[in-house]
Amino acid sequence: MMLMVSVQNLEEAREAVAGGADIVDVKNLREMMVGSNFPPVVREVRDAFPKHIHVSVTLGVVPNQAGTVAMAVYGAGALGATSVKVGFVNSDYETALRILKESRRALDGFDTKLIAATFADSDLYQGIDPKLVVKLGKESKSDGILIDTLVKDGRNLFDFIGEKTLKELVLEAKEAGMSTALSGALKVANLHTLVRINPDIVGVRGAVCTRGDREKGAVDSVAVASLRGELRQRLTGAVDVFAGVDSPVLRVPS
Amino acid sequence: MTVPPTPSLTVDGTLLTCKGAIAKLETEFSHLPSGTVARVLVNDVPSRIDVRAWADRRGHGVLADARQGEVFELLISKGGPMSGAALAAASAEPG
Repeated sequence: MMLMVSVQNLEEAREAVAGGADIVDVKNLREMMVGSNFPPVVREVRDAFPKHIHVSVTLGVVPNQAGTVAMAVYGAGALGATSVKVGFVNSDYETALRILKESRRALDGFDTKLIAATFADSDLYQGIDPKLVVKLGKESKSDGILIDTLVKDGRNLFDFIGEKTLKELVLEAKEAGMSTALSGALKVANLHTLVRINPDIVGVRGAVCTRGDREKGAVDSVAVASLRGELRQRLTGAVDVFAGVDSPVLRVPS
Repeated sequence: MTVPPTPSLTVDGTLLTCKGAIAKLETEFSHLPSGTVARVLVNDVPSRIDVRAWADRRGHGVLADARQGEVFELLISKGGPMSGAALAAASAEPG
């Protein structure tokens, strides 16, 4: 499981990587909390690290304009981003699918992966049902899926979608050959559940920021390293996340 | 003594990449005949469980599942009739 840390600038990216992040996700909190950062910032971050450190670009929530989005996606490809995430609010399935298909076409010739993103709290934003994300990813030939949240009011991913549903979505996406990422105000307390669900990527910000504050705080390498360590303990079984779980799918084989 | 079947391929899920063992297995198995045995390597507990769950969902057989240090090694037989070697190993008397 890879650890993705959302960063706003190179300084935060350096902190994230020093703490053990596998992916730095460049975004701009001033634009609807999950918005795009500026091309020079993405370029600076990409140039600062070797290729095995993934640099993802979030386009956050995009307008219902396929050409405009495809151009932005092309920009992510041209900047050498490892992946680009396209998410939707005030949209519908068919519009999102068309935008993603055009985004796919825009990435021809680039190594950049296309990630279809939906929001677990999309009911609050007239977004797309997050349970459709796998279908959306498959039909648009995206490389991966992300389920995130938009609300930053203390609620998180699990306030909107339960473990069982997320597990099924993650397995279905994996079986379709896509990468899977979960994010949305996740904390150390959620690691047990996250490890049971086992997405390929877990994304955080507030949990690794000074004072635990995703907006006023900054990414801190010590906090990243601590979370990385907690995650590792659960992945290796040193901390048993399956204890007391009755599901035959989730029980550890003897 | 049970002789483990010889795997036809190895799927290495220990590498830290965006796509894990299951996505790789789906791709590999789609091209292979039933009964093919794959050696699957994963390096964490939830991935081991996922591979077993995936095999169950897809009707594949788990012929072996052992921890080798920090790596879990599973032998998965693609659903349908088992290969001769796999069948012989699976039916051999332990001892």
